[in-house]
Amino acid sequence: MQAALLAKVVAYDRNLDKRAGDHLQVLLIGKENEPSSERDVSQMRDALKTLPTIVGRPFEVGTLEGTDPTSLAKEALRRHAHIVYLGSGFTSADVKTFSAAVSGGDLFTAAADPNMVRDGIVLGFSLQMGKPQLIVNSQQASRQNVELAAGVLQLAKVLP
Amino acid sequence: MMPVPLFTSWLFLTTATGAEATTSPAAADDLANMLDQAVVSTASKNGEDALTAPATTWTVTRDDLERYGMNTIADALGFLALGTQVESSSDGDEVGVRGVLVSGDYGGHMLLLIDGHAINEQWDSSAYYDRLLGLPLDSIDHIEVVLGPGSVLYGSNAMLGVVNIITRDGTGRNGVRLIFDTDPFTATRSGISVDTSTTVAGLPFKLAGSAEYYHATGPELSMGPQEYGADSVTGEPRRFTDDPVGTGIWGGTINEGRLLRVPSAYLKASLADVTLALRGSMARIGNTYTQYGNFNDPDVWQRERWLSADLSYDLTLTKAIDVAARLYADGYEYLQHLPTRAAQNCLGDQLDGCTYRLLGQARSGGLELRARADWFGTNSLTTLLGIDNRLRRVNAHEHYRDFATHETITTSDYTRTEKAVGAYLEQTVEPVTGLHVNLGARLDWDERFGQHLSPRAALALELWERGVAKLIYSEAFRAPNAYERYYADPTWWVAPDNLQPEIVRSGELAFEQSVGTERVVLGAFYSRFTDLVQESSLSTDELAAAIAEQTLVEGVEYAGQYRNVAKLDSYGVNAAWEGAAFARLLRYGVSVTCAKSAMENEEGVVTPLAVAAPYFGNAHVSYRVAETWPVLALAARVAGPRRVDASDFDPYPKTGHQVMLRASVSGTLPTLLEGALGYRLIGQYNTSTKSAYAVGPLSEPSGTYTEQETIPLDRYRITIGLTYDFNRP
Repeated sequence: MQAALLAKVVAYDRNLDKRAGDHLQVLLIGKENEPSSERDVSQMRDALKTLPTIVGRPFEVGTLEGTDPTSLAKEALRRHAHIVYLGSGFTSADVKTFSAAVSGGDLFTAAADPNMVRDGIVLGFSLQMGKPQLIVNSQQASRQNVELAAGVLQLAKVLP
Repeated sequence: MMPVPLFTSWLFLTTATGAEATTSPAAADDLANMLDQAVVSTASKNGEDALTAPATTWTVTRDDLERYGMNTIADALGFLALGTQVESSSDGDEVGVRGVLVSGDYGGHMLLLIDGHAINEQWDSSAYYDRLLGLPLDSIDHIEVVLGPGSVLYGSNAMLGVVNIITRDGTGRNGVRLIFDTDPFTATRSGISVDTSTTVAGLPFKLAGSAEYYHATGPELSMGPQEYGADSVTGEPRRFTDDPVGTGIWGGTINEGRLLRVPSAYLKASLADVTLALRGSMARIGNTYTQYGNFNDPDVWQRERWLSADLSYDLTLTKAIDVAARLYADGYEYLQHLPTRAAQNCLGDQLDGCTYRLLGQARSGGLELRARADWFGTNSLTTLLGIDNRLRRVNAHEHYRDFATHETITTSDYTRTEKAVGAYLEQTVEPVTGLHVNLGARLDWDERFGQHLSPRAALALELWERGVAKLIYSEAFRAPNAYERYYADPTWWVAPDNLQPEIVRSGELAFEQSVGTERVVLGAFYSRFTDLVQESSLSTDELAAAIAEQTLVEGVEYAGQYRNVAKLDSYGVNAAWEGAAFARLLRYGVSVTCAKSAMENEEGVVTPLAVAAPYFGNAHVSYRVAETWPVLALAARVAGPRRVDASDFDPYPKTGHQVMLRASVSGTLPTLLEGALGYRLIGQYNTSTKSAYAVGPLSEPSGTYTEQETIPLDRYRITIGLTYDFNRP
């Protein structure tokens, strides 16, 4: 469900057309030696394989492992990833460092762990009242040139 | 974060919803529909799509509770859930499932969980669904109702189903809420809730805590008169009040018909993968119209105290395996205080009356360990293995204190320390796409009764997009509680030597379809209950043997004992439909259950199950005009004619149809106080003021008493509520 939700939310990014051409790069980042992170990345990769396209575009999925958030952020920017997904296992400090490093960049970040949204990931997934919930960090979205349409923000919990 | 499930696999649930996304209105609806799909965790101890869960499940959310003005879990089950019938007795609200309601069981045939922690206490298996639950209403995030036997993962008590209350985790709102409700002139509820989520030492920290105090007094009730006649001991007119001179007539006006005081608190805090939950409550209940105590005497009361703690830790061990540990402890105390002037309610020489006291206590603690393997990382082959080890100590003391001499005579006193172990295994496999197979079994070993195996097999077949057919076989049991197993009184009661668990075996065929905002559930079920525990009389030979063994005192002419003697068959159909329209501003739902249940007693006599309605259901609709406008809501619940409990009239009396309507208006006042002030106004109307529970000492015709009197129900009820949120985001 998370992959499908991500694909749908990305469609509401008004800057996606400017950022991406007719092809999308998705980068899945896991924390090295962290089983939960490894599993998140693996499951997201498998789930993405079931999607024919994202926002009508073909896409490629790459993976990356590491422990240094600054290096991981640089690599994500170097690869011109349009969508970056972080597996769980990164600490609050890791996520803050990563998010600071990609600020000003031009990419959409999402994470398995909803706590990461407060630390600077644009989109997270949670459960509230027994139903999936989207959590959006609107400030960080602006910093990464992500402009989500009102249609999706109405459905999400938006952190100021 | 997910409140209860150990694992985050729900995030990767497969979904048939197309991923081709645009920003068209249809795509927005599609996204909203995905966000409206219920994810449940109770049926498998793992987050999963409700559609393919190995049971029929129903979710009531906090939004539903607020929208429809629900005040208790029983309200929510009766007005909003599928398959659950709620009836008001003198012991509080009782809940039945699919045509089976065991009156007087104090909730012992249904397993109640709070965040996965079993609430049914270890002395008498009690668990309550009304105010006595002792959980602040504001602490609830949502309620999952699993219909049908659920012992496969949870052990004892899950015969009719499992109700799991998931509490808030601190992320929903950030700040403090003050709460005040009143049912004018009869009840008030005051409370406070705190929510916060932050980072501590680089780790996510969440805290949600609620405390409330509920106090009810009225309404004034009128009962009787019932001309009972002479006291069987003194031969004088029986005394039903504190007046030393008896009239033999029961009834009159009760000044405080439902005296109840319940302070309660719940706290849940989590730091990364460690969660601590604490619950405490106390209830003092006036019981002024029981025939065993003085009528309208404020000194007739019961008290219950609850304390529980739960510490859990979840760990992802490898890419495929999660493990979890849960350490828990519970304390419970029940005290009944029953002064009575009637000599026949007391012991032999206590002719001026006595005070009866029953104290029951239970303390228990345990450790549950579990591991779940997702072998391919796709949820297509998973194994859940768990073991739950519990140690408990139960004790009870019963005595009669003579009004005249102040001498106290103890009639029952026992203390037992017992061990119980439950081990469970659940295997799921998706051999072909869209076929979900779930096989499981739990073996319980308990010093109180021996061992018992509870299997479950469930198939869920995805027929087409969001359409699923389910075939489920499941068993469950209820361990004999300590009262049934150990209570003994040498003047009339013998503790059983070999009381076995009650057992239910159930088969179910269900179909569920979700289309957009709409969800439909259809089901047919059959359940057979065996070894049900009932009071039984000792034969003449058994009586003589008990006297010879000095289990009973000399001269006893009648004695009883709990035995596994009754059976119950139940079958029927249920259906539900819920949905939304106009961008979800309009929400609606309806459910109906038709069931036929018959109890066969020790003598082989088959009768309809008392209180259980042959058909019942509910309907609700609500409309929010705009985001800042009030929500208008209407809910109704219906129960068909049902047999009155504890009546010996022939033919047995029935209550008529009952329709309960509840209308509510709720919202916030944005132009005042920046939207932090919330309000709700609830009105309830009941078409019948007669419950299905007999009241008073007469349970058969006598003179002019020709119609069974039952506990009265309120015709009208009004609730006015206010909330105030500080630091509202």
